Amino acid sequence: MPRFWRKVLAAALVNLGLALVLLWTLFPVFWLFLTSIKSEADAFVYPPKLVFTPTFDAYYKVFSDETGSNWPRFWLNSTSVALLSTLIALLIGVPAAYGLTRFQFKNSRATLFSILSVRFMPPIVVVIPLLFMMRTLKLVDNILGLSFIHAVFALPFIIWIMLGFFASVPRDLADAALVDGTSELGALFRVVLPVVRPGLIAAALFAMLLSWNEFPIALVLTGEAAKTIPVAATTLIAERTIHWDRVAATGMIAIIPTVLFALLIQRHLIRGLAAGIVK
Amino acid sequence: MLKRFFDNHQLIFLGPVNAYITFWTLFPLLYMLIISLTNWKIPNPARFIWFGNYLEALTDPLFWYSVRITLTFAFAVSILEIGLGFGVALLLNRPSAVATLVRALLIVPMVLTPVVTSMMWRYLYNPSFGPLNYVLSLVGLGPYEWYSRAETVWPSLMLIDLWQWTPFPALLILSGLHSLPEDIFESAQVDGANALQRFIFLTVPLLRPLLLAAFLLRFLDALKIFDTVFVLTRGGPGTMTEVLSFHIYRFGIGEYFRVGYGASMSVLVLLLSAGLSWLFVNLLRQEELTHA
Repeated sequence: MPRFWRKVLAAALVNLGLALVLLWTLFPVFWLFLTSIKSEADAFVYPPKLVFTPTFDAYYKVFSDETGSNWPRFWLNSTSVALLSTLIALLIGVPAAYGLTRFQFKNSRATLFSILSVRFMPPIVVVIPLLFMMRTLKLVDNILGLSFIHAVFALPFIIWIMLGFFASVPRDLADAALVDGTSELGALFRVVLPVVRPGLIAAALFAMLLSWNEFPIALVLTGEAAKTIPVAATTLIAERTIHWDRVAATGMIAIIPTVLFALLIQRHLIRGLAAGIVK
Repeated sequence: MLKRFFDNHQLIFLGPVNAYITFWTLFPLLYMLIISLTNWKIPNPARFIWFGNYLEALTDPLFWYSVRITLTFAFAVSILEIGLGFGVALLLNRPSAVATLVRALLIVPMVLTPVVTSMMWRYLYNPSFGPLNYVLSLVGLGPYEWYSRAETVWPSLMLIDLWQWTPFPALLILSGLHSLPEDIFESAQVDGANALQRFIFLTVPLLRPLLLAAFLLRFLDALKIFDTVFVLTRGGPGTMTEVLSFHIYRFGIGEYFRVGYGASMSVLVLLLSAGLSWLFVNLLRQEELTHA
């Protein structure tokens, strides 16, 4: 075969492969979206309908109280826990990551190892003792209590994302601030942090994503008052008849912020997920 | 005095994180160790039975079954995801507008709420009105009861994991492909190595550390499987898909409230995952891939 046609064929095959990847990746989400704008009756039709009258009924239902559950509250809970846990994890994790890049501590390695262990610990393993510990602290079914734990699991990711960013800041920058009489901590906050702002944003969004998506811990540690969206969503499929239009609408609202966040931190996302590996 | 305190950098920078992690993981773990030695079952009072729970777990076929299926599941999905991911990475390696688009959209599955992903697939799998059975019926197959039948339940659960997580090794390997030194490939080409030979003898060995890292990360994360099982099968049919996390949950606080017994299995699973993490860090240290 002439060289030219071989190239054309190769390019065509690659693009065909990519098209299949794209279809495979997007079809389930597309179907979720379609179901969310169907009426309850249309969601149960066989064969599945591709042409139907779209309606936003399901969205209205999952934001109102008429289903008997306090959905507005659950949305607020999820948001609060995501914000609070991220704030706590940033306050603790960012100085740690900075310290680990700037100084050679005796127990740097031990700290990194303990942080990595948290990264690989199955959450269900600690959740039983945590439940009783939280009960003693009066933090069961409490937004603050859940935030404390989500922050623990966000720390490894925040630290690993920030390690990369701090490593790229020249030492002289903080040194110059020290000459001017600030402390190391002051230099971090006044001089270094403004430089790594993109990193802070990436780390913060990553931590919010983790908290927003987290299920097993929230399942065990919350009741009605602090229930988050993933936990509330599973109650939708525990009923005898599953209202698939509502399930889909809840799913859509839950994933819209995650997709937006992901597109914002695209490049850092893989780095965060690969926490533990340094390239 | 106060000045000395603020000059201790280790205390200032690492103190908070160490204290926080100690308080929220080490204390609970110690507490768990204690309850694991009791026969505490809510609402009954607890009494020390020493290693009774451990003995029960280690002689319970269901526990060992659970260990086995969890390890097998994690191993199978991570191997498949690395293989498929490598393929996708190779497709994406040639720069084009389509490749850029696909690369951006590939991150979508990874960031979706796992509970939502599971519910979405439960609808796709639905035997009476799901689109998957409809598409298969067009070519004369089915209908299948995907996640409620013994023959199809594992492939169904694995497919969800493959859908959500193949993009991770794909994108990781893609970044590895971009960082390969071009001159070696050029000289190999000059020496007459064809594309397949270059792939087997250059690309794969050069990416070996990255492939290993991707495998270990996926493996350790896949061991945590809980959400999918909770939403789709609840361990069923029977106890066929009762993976470790769900097993502990069901016996500990989800159904039987045998807190002591659940705690003892948690200790065992923690030892397993800690051992695997330790192995992981050491393997990566050999490849000079980690700080820890």
